[in-house]
Amino acid sequence: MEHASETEVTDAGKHVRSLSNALQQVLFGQEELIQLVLTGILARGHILLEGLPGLGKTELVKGLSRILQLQTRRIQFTPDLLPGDITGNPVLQEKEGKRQFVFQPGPLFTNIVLADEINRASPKTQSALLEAMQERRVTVLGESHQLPSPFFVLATQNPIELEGTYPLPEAQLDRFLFKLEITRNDVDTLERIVTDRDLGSEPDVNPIMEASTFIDVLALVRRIYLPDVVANYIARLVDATHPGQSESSGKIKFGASPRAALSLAAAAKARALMNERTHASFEDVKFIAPSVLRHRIILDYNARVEGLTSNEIISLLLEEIPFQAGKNPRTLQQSASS
Amino acid sequence: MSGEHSNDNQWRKLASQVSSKINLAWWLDKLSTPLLIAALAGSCLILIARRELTDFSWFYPSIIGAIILLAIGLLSWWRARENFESPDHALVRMEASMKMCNKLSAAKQGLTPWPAIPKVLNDGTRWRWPRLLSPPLAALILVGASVLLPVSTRSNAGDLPMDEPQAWKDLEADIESLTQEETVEKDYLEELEERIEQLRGQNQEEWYSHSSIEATDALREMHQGELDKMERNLRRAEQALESLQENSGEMSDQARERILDAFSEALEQLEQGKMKPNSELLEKIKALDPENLAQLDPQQLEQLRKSMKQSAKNCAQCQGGASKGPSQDGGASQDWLDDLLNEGSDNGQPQEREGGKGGVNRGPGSAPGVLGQISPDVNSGDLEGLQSEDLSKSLPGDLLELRDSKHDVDKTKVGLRAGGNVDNESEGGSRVWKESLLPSEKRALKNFFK
Repeated sequence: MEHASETEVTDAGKHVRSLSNALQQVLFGQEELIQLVLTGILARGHILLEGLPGLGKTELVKGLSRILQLQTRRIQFTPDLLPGDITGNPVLQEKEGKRQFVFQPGPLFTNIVLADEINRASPKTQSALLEAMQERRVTVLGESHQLPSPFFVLATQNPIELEGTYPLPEAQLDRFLFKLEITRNDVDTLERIVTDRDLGSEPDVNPIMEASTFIDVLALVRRIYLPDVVANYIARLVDATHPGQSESSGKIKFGASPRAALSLAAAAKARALMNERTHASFEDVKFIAPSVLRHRIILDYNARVEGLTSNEIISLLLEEIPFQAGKNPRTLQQSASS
Repeated sequence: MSGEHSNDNQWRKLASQVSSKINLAWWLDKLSTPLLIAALAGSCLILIARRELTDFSWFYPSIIGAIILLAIGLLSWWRARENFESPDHALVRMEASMKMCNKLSAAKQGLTPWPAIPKVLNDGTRWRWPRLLSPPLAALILVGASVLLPVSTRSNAGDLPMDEPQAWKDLEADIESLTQEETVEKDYLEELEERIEQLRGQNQEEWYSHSSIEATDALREMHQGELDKMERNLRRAEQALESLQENSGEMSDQARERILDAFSEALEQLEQGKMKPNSELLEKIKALDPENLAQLDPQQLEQLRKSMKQSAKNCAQCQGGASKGPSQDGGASQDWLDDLLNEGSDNGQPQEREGGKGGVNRGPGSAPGVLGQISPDVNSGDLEGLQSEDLSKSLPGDLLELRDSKHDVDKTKVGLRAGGNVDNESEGGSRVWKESLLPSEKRALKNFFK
């Protein structure tokens, strides 16, 4: 595959920057979150947004769908939601004098699915998303139905300590490229929200990019060059998440999967494109690693009792694993990076 | 284009320098331990060689040291080789430490142009000087100390003259003393000297052999015996003369006769002994008529007695008579005189056996005080009852303790019981955390609540 040229990357970068600017008009004071959401989308990944109610998760996803001019459907997950309610159900219809089941597509058949408060649905319904997210198709009564392309699931969830929530199973968590944590706004941002917004009214957002352009950009991301040394760094980083493979992994019960390594590579390429580079770098991997790994490593009971979080463990891992392979001789010491 | 090519060359040159630095660091790292071990062993060997070898030369040790150093260097290089880095790896190291977003890797791939050389270069490493310098410095100090420390060559033990037995020296001293004082006839001293020379003439390794020590001991005993004998006879003669001179008018004829006999006997023994007084003194004594002492000049007699006393004293002062205490000097002769005068009045008490003195000529009994001072109250031969207080060494059936107590009888009623009652009163919540959690989780919880 031919690698992306600097001209292509520069053009695509400008488009992405305009997307970013538009999203910043939807969600105030969350520049890093917007960058990560765009990175995830460009890497064709599904994104899980976690945060307390009212922080703008849903607004961000709705704004994104309008900017990209993609078909969007919103599913409000509730405890009594059934799998068929999201995938679609076979309906008995009379056709040419015969009665037969005809598949009635559910809300999953769209480009962007906003799975709002996904952890309020039962595990059975959550699991109904597995095939759709991984293989981008739905199988009902033995018949598989292809989902439209591009297909993204942008799910929001409340912290699991809240009432009426079901924790997502690890298999489903692994299918999300990023898990992004939305933090509360500072005073200046709140003041701006209060000034510029009215309760109940949605922000005016104009479409920025046509769907075909967006698909071209997605294709360009795949042509971003991933240097061997960066691929090696990703492999060493993911390997280090497993117990016994590094000093920082002492309190990890289960490490990240190979899918995490693929996700890191894809997201690093996407970030390189956003920064108008033709190649991914160590810095890209380091930037997106917490978002990719935080929901993929399972901490052991000791870590949970001590109050350690995945983010802290990942920070330690990133400090421990050097960019270049191999170790330094004892006659040399690491100097401060310039 | 030429500028880009120039950057390419410069980056590659820098990468080559960085990789050389890293590889040198690896080599020095692997070199340190063998170098220290070799320096330690080498310094020990140098010290041993300087001590043991009389004609120690630095030429061969220097050659061997250089060869060993070269071998260690090669071995360390071979060991470090697996960690060596290529210039390509050094490029990655540089772009990582300078946060260049892998521009060098992309440029190497031909995707982007080579970036310009920054003013400040950083390969992400710097020398750890204490770690780097400590091993060679320690090696240098070790070898330097082994070279500079003053060590004297150990002389050959076989070259040293062997010290001859002390008994020979004592006998030589006696000969010298007796010759100087002219106490004894020269024939005896010459014979004694000849016999010592015979012993000395044998192989030095034989000087301390059993036979040599036995012969020396016999010679010393013979000499001692002769000294004692001559001293005793001189004293007896002198004492007899004194008694005759001072008590001639008072003593009975029987006593006078006995003293005269004793004088004659002493004179006879002096003449017949192997060791004789010097001829001048002997002639004077022989020329003396004890029965007519009154006719002699008292001064001449006094002079003769003085000479006899001096000769006896010379004999007593010889090494052969050194063991005699001062109380025996004259005391023995006095005892002899008392015995002579109180003949037949022996009370018949047995003499106490004295302890031996050890050595070849040890007498009956054991040497006193060999095992330290002898305690006066050893109570040997007494029988005492022994009672062991150590209960751990008691035998089956031994009576250990007597106690007044009642039997511990279980008074629980035995019989039918009503079923269905709950006896076990558990603590609230304990079942949950004790039985529902995994062992590792229980440990973590316990640690947390500590």
